[in-house]
Amino acid sequence: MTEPLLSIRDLTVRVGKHPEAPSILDRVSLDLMPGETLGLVGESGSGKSTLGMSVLRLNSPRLAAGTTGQILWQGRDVQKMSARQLRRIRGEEISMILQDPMASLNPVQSIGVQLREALRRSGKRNLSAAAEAALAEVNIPSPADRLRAYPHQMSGGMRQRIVSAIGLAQDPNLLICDEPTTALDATIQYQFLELLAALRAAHDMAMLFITHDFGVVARICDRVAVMYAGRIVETGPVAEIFARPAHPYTRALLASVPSTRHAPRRLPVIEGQPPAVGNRPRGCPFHPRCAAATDQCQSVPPRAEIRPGHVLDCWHPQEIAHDPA
Amino acid sequence: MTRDLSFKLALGLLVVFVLVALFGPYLLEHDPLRGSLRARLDPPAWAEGGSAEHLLGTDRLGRDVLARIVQGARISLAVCLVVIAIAGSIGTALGTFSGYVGGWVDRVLMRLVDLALSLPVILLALLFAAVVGPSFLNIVIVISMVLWSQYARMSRGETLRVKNEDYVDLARTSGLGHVAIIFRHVLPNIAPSLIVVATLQVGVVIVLEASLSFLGVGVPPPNPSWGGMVAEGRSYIVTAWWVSALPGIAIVLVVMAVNVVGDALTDRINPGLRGRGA
Amino acid sequence: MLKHLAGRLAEALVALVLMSLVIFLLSRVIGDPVALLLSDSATEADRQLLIQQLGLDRPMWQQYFTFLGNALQGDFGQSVTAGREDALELVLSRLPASLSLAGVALAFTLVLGILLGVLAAITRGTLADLAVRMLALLGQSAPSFWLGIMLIYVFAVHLGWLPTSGFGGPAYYVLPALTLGLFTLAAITRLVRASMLEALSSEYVKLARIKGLSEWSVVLRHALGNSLIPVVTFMGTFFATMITGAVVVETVFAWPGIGRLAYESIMARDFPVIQTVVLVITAFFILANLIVDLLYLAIDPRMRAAG
Repeated sequence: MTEPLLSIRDLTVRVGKHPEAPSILDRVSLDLMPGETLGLVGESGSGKSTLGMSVLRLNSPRLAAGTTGQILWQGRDVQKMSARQLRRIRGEEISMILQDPMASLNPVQSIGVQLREALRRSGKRNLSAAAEAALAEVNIPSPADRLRAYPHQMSGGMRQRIVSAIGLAQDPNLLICDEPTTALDATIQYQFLELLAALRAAHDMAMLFITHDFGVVARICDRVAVMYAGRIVETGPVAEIFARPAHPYTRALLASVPSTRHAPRRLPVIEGQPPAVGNRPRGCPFHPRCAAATDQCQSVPPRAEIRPGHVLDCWHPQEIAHDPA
Repeated sequence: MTRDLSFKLALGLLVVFVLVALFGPYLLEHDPLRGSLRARLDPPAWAEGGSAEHLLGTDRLGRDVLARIVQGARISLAVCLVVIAIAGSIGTALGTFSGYVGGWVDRVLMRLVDLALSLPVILLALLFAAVVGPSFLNIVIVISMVLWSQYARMSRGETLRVKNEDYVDLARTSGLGHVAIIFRHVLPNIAPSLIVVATLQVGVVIVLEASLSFLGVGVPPPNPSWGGMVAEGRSYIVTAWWVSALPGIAIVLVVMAVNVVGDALTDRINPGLRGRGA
Repeated sequence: MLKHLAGRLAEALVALVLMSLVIFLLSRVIGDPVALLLSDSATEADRQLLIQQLGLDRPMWQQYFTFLGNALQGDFGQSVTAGREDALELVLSRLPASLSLAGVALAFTLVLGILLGVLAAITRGTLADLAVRMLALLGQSAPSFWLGIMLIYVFAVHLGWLPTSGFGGPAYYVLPALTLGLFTLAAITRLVRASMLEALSSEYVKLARIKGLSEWSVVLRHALGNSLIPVVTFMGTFFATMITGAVVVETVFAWPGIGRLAYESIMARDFPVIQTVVLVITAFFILANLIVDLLYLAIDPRMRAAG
């Protein structure tokens, strides 16, 4: 069996050092194999972005101080790395595409400067040629001219492609995508996903794809992990989860996605709001909103592998297959 | 945590300032205007040659510095209140009107505000004060002339924001008149931002008043304005530092407290203003 | 962009004309130039003659246009004090002292303010940050006339390190420049700290970190550039603060600049000089704002595209 590329073990992120401080992530564990694309799905506030940031230690000092558990990159603990070691990982081995293409480019520097800055670290000789090639790879027309342009002169879709060119400049083994399509128009979203899929194949890399959209997951991911209130509640291969979602929350999420072929005709709405950080219920975090909840759900649910690769944290797994009609 | 502590300290200091200004003069035995020629330039109690009779020493006419600082607090407070009332109501009226009416009226009025902000107003103030002569009324008018434009700009921007809100539309469609809308819906909603401006301006008013008094065109002597006291003590700085230093410290403390409170209010009420206190 | 600049220029001219009108009205309506010019022993005939000579018997608007026309030709009249110097020459002769002082103050203020602001931002929450913030708070709260006197007392009178006042070599600049600059120093420090903190938590700084850049590159190449934009925006205000401050500071330090000239002429009701000083200062004011506009263009590419 191959070693996982990234292995997260019991990652807990609290707001500050205090052991009783409210937690954003609560004992999260997941593995990512080389070349695999894992979708991380959850509502906003579920902690999925914090998880992505934690891998590169990009969280604010307060969150960093409240981080426990292990993040193993090819067997080495990212948490214990020196600043210098960490910098070697960033960009070269793990890279990231951020959510907001409008904000993630430096407004006062030209595209070329920002791109070459990343290319330089990978030891490329002819930086200008490399920069043009990098823009061409992400389908930017007339790349030579675009290198002299500034971010404000470009559309959101184009900026996001440039951000991915910067992310890929050092040919990383893992690309973390934090809701890269959320800020884009619907038509451009699809194009961009196609591009990402092509880039993943060309660069032979793994991807951690953070999103709130199961439709996106269906398109690009191999496996999916569903997050709710700082915990991963269900993990499994995409086809398996779509066919047999077992966690009530996953079922509700899937049901509320009209764009997937798997959606039922009637859209059941999940009652209530996800709990705020610091106000999360005991036991299973979903039980106050769950139709199947019982008193048992007040205590932490057991973890079980109900089918090969399909792991679930729930007292009352939903046995009936999800109606694909 | 330090932020909260400094806010409480500053607020406490301001309360003390207001209380001293209101009641201080009745509690002190010394007359701030009458001196004793035998007690000229007496040092403060803790310095060599000082006595408990005059805790903060005396000035060149033998007047008690503490009594004068206390009386000065009253003058500073009075100037602040009157200026903020005048500049605030003129500026708010113009700004709200401008923002509410819009169109060319708005453009003309805002150009005027830009102009007012781009002129070296201290010179105008000095000129005006010099021409009409120093008096309480004049200094209040002069400082108000300088400061109204900030209220105008703020209230105009806030009115623009508020006037497109749903509740204003609702009020309009339900047949409420313009004046009623402004008084019932616009003003209450822009008030918090105006309070922030007013707070941040208290410090500006105190320093401006003190500066003009220092230059001899502010509150006329023998009334003890803090700025005027610093000016009077200037000639004796070598032998009697306290006459200048102590009223200045009073200014610094009050202005510092106002700035801390103003910053805290800005953070809470209108974070967009942050860093604009320059 | 050119259109924008032209607009600013037109606005500047309007400001100048408006200022001249205000000064003219103040001097004619409120002040009485005749009473100032005549000696106590003058007769009513002397008085009428002078009124005629000065053109004060003509309608106000005529007088204003005569004043404006003369001013455009560089004729601002003569000082009414004993010297009877040419007003414009007098003002221009005082200009170098003021400009050099303001220049020194602005330079040290900018360098130190940016340095302290960045330091406070990257050491946020530590003792260094607290110290810088206290200094900034003090600087924004201490009135310059008092600060100047205290600095003179400590460094000139008590320690004897620096001259008390007057104009001369570099040592003479230290205290006045410090007094003139402290408020602006505090303002710049606060501004840079705030905008630096904002930049450091921005997405583009995150992206720079994702690239694997060192913390120094992140701060200097990505955060600093952006956090200086608000400083440029406020440069006009800072310059205005310096001019305003110059009146007080030059008076405290007996500095032979236009600030003190303005004060002295106002006190002596020397209207030709007052008019000249105020107009010259206003012109500088406007010039400074135009320079700020140009600077803005240079630093922020977004502005170049915007009309």
